[in-house]
Amino acid sequence: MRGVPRLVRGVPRLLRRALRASAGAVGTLLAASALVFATTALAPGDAATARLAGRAGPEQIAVLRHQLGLDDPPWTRYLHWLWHALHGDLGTSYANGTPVSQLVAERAGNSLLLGAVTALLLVPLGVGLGLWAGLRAGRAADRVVSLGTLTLVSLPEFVVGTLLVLLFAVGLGWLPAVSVPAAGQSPFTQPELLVLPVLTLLSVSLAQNVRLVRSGVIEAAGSDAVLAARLGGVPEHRVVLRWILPAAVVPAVPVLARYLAYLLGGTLVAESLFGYPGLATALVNATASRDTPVVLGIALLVAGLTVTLNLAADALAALLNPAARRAH
Amino acid sequence: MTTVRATVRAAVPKRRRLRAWAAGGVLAATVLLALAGPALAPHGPGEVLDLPYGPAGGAAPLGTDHLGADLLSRFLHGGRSLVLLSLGALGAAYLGGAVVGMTAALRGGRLDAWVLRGADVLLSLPAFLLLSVTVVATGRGSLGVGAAAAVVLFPEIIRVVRACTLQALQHDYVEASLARGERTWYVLVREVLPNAAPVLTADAGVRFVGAVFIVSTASFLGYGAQPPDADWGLMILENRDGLSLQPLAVAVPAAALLVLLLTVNLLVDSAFPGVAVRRRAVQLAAEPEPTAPESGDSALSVRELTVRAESGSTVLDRVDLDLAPGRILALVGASGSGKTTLALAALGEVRPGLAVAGGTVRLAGQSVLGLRERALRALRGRHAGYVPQDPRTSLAPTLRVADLVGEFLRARAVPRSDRPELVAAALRLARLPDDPAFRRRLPHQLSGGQRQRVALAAALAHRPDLLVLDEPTSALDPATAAGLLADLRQLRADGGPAILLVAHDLAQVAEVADEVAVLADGRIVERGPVAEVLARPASAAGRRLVEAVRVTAAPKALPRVAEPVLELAGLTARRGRAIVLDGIDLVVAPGDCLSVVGPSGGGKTTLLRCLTGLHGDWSGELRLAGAAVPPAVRDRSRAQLRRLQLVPQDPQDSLNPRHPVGAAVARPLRLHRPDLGPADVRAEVHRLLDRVGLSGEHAERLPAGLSGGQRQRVALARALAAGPDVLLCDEATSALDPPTAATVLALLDELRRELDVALVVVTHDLTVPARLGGRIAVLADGTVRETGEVADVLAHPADPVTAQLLTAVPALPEPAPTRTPHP
Repeated sequence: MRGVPRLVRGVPRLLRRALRASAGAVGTLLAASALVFATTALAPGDAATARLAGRAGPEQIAVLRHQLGLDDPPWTRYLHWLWHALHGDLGTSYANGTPVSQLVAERAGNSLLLGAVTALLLVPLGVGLGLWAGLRAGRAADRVVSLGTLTLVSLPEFVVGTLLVLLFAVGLGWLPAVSVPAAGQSPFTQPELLVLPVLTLLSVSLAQNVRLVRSGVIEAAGSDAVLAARLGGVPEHRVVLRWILPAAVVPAVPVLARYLAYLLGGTLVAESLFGYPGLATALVNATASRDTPVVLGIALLVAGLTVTLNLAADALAALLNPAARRAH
Repeated sequence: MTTVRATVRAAVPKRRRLRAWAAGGVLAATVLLALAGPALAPHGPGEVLDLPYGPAGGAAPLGTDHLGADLLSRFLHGGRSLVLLSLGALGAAYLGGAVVGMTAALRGGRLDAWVLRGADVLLSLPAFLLLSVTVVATGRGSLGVGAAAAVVLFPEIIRVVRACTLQALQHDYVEASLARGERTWYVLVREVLPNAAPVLTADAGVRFVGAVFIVSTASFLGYGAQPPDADWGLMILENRDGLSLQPLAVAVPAAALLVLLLTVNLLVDSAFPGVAVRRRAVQLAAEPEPTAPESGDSALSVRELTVRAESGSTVLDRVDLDLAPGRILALVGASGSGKTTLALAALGEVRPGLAVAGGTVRLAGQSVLGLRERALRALRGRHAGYVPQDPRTSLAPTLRVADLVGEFLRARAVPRSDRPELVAAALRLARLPDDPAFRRRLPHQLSGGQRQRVALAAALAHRPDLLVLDEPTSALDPATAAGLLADLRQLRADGGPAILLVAHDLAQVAEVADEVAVLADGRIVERGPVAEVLARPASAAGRRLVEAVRVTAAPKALPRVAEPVLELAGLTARRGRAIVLDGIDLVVAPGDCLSVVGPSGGGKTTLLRCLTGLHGDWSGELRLAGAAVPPAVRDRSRAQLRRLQLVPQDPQDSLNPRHPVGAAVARPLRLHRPDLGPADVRAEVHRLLDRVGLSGEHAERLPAGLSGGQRQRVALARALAAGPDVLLCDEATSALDPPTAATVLALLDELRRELDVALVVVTHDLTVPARLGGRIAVLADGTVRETGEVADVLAHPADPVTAQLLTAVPALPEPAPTRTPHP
């Protein structure tokens, strides 16, 4: 009986908080799109000059600019884009007239595949290695892991990727040095293309996560609650499973969410290093050709992904660590 | 005799220091090489010498790159812009981030919300998007890359600085500083920054690595330095295709990047370790004695136990202790006397940094020292239970009540089907409800007292022979603590386990324990039945402990003076929409003492914060020496601020750890008595330190070199330095052990008498007003329930809240005088 009024009181508050969080997310996305639009619109030059520079005179550039609607004032262009975007129409590319949604969908699929494979390896390996090292804190095994992860977090991805190519593609010849799928095929059908990009992405993110989980384990293992369990005779494997692991993983959740967003939203270095057709290279090319609709489309998708994952991480952290829920 | 050989590893900090120095040295050399490189290079960065990817030798000591330029020269040219750009971006981002983050934390409210929202927007955009967009706006080259790196770093730095500042603002010494009326910049620069500096330095190290990542990656992607300029990232891009011909062209810049970043990371790691590795210390390589149960059936038997620290100092010195089944033995002693070490050693546990140097410990007749971990756990599972001190950390936050208790039953191989019944029994034993709703609760859904009871239930679940309780009530409010102790008595009456109770409060011990053992400097100096030790303490340590909890005589009612120095009328305070204080009236005369008591959550602290003006959202009238004072501290004049001075609660926190004692006491002098010259200030500081029972030599010390009692004396001297009419004391003695608290209270009483300063003392401890005398106001649920002379109110409480507070105060048995003074 006592639980019932608590529940009734609790739901609207949760709902309110969820609504407030979603409203915040939408606001963040609006502001992000405006920011990206403003920087691309206000920078010198535009899509017309980028496409025709050196190949046509000022009159032809002016004609193209008029065709693309670039002679409207920036704020009408932004509102125009926003109005259509709210109706699900992301416009067409300035560069080749393809619908943005089609272009984005194809690239997003590739990025998602690469990111998901990496994430699937990252989470269990990160938690497992971090737990293993943290429980052996100060011993030889822990020092090896600590020095190894410290070295990996000191190597930028492009260095790791280059060294991997040197070893596995150039030296041993086991794997392809570039990961461009055959025309009309998805990388799904050629898993060997994914190996080196995934290893490259794993290097830094795995090392960071191992370090995070390891320090969480060490902290949890020194807590009063663990001392009480050990002094009460609870066997060590149960102490690890029920006391230490939850306490160590909870603080890692928001960080993992950020890595997930980073991995799924396209990873410029891995893509350009291996020629992999993902979101990040598409966005960088679109920025260079001042193809604002494509830039905005991808930016919106990636920012949306980031914001959503952060919200999910907050919710998950609150679920796993109810004490923090009350602190808000 | 068991022979015990303890192996203690060499001290870690020294090794860590060495590593930090080595990493720092290599880092400095690398940065110097990068900065001076262009001057040392034999050739220009774009000078073509030979065929592409030529071998090492001759004019090109490392070979040539993809264009045939000297690798060594390009390498030497390629570090300077990377290091300078990264440092520049980091500096710019930190400068901006620090200003924005600190302002947001200080101002709070809407500004803070907007800053956070803005940082979220930037964080939602991936780094490569910010990079490519910035480069479009600025064009390729160093400027764009530096700007992009700064933009990427900026929002995260805002968040770090903001969080760091918010944390720093919670310190008592910052509160004291704000209450004193210090300006914002002073608080930030002198109070916050010095203590945030280590965290921010470590953070800056990590961010520098991030900046180098961004800048070198941008170069690798072709956004940064343009050929023929050299850059380590660009070199890796250019020479990738010649990997098999001249691997050095890639390996050398890659190695340089690794050395630069690894040394920074090592330095941050060594100088600012995130978590201290608490090694599970001390292998006790001893042959376990044959574990035939000994004659005589004590639950615990300790013989000649000696424990030493790594430094060689002795923590426990040949301690003997016996505890018969079903008896309660209290271990008392000042902090640092070794009582917790002894309590843990009783269960075979030695904290990291300590080692058993000799002796035996028998738990239920079996030797525990030298047992392997697995055997030790099994032994504890059969015979022992432990309840830690702090209810906030004593339970795993994710384990439900029934699951927690169930784990302890599982450890004793109780079959799953029998567990629910035994869990319920354990909960009842600890006087907790055993209904399903309660059993599903998580620790955060329990009160502090309930948490301690759940820990107790878990420890009792498997019916141990020995229960060790480490100051189980010290973090509870008096009423809850009294309840818990009463239940321990009941447990004893019901034929429960032998209990080893670590305590620092003799009065509480008196009510539950059969025997008491007094520890001092690692030795048991006295032991015997409780009543005997309390009545006739034989040792100096025992006498000090007994003195501390005795209230000597009822203080006389203080003389009333016509003109009150502090008048408060109709104070109503809000927090958000909630009213937390409702219509409070208080009057204090010069040289008088007003104690504000009440249960936790009753509004005591808020009242204090309203008086100091730190909480400005209140209505009503505050008059100091007849003149009205505005609610918020920032609206008060310097003269008004002078009249009210705060003595904060926590001796660990009431003084800024970076300021020497003399500087802390001198600060209010500079603020409120600008006429004093430097020599006068020094003399005055010495006089004030003298006044609070310290001496001039303390002026040079940092707070870390002082005991808790000494720190509270310094905090008093600092408050007195302003020349106040009213001293506000926020639980000023609650964190001190009883003997020290008694001397600080005596000092307060003396100051009141001699300086004619009025005291307003907020406390949850009824012994404080009993010692200080004067008047008392009982505060609960935001209203004053009762006021009057201390002696009258304590003797004849008119309000149920007061009566309940009184029953919670443990009384000493005769012949000690009772604590409630009768008229």
